[in-house]
Amino acid sequence: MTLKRIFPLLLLVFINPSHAGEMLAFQNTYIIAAPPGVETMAAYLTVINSGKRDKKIVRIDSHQFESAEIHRSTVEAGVAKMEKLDILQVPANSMVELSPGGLHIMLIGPKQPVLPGEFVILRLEEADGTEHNLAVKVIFTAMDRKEHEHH
Amino acid sequence: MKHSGLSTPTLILATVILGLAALLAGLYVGTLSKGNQGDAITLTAGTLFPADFRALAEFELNDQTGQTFTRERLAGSWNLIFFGYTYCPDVCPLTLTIFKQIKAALAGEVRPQTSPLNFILVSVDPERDSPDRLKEYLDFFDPEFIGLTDTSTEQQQLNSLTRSLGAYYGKHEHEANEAYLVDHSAGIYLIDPQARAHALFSTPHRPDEIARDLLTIIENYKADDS
Repeated sequence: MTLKRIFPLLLLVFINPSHAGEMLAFQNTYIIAAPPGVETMAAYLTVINSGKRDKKIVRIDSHQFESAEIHRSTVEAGVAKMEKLDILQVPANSMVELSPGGLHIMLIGPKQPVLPGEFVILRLEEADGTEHNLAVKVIFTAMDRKEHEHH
Repeated sequence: MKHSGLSTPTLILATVILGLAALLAGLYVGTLSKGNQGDAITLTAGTLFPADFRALAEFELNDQTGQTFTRERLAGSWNLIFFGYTYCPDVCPLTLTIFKQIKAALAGEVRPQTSPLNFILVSVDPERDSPDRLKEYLDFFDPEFIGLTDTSTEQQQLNSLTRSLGAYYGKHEHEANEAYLVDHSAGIYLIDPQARAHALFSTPHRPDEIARDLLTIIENYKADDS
């Protein structure tokens, strides 16, 4: 490996301070494309807290949507329900998965049509004011996603 | 929380839950009695409706082309019915994706002389789901899927269908200009070619299992007068 190649890596190491492990990490982010004219979409992701302190996501928004809320779908006695959560808790040393049929970020009122292949910028804010900006890709359907994983 | 309350009183919900419990108890007993007759079929994901519960009430809904769709339109086909609405971002697209997977799994598996299989989304949100809106929505998933909505004022037609299937829906309380959510039965209902409730597929929905159960049911199906 030449020095030229190593240099950016060194930079990363120096820029990321020792408390890097305290930061929330986000994986497996996607939004499933919705039919035209649809007013709500769902964003999914996995939040990883490898730090020693509990974290809370208290606000989510996107300049591409009127609003965004944390929701949970449940089935109770055969009835599908959705409830709005004010806070997404991410306990220390744990992982919270937002996936179809469970926790999700409900995106309400797209300002322009959001099409497969495009990205939605989500801003997630923690209780202590820490912000995370994520570029989340819009995929066609959950089926497409599975196919991608297999290839 | 704005979305937490239901506009229908708790009493009604309790009644519906009791009704569901009674229906499920009926299904259980019905399955047992069928087993005793020695002609039972074994299902992985589905539960058969006992013969006493099968009759469907009359209803008159509109499909996504604006045409009238009554109980008689179900006759002569197998029909999978799911209750949902187009403003639902999570569970409903998921279930329509499961419909697509069931359809794909059955392609080429069903004998050609078998009655066709319809995939039907019945809107529990007729206020916002016009036939045009359902068309736009379903074309995205599969233009062959059927979308039904109630264009009557009091949703009596929709209630007729949900009641006779033991299904439930309820709109969340909301402020005047605010988008609302609707709770609804999560199951997939199978209606047979005699337009009778035949089986219920509860969540979680596994498309391969449902497809296998459908083949079992269809292959063992004999029309009768009961």
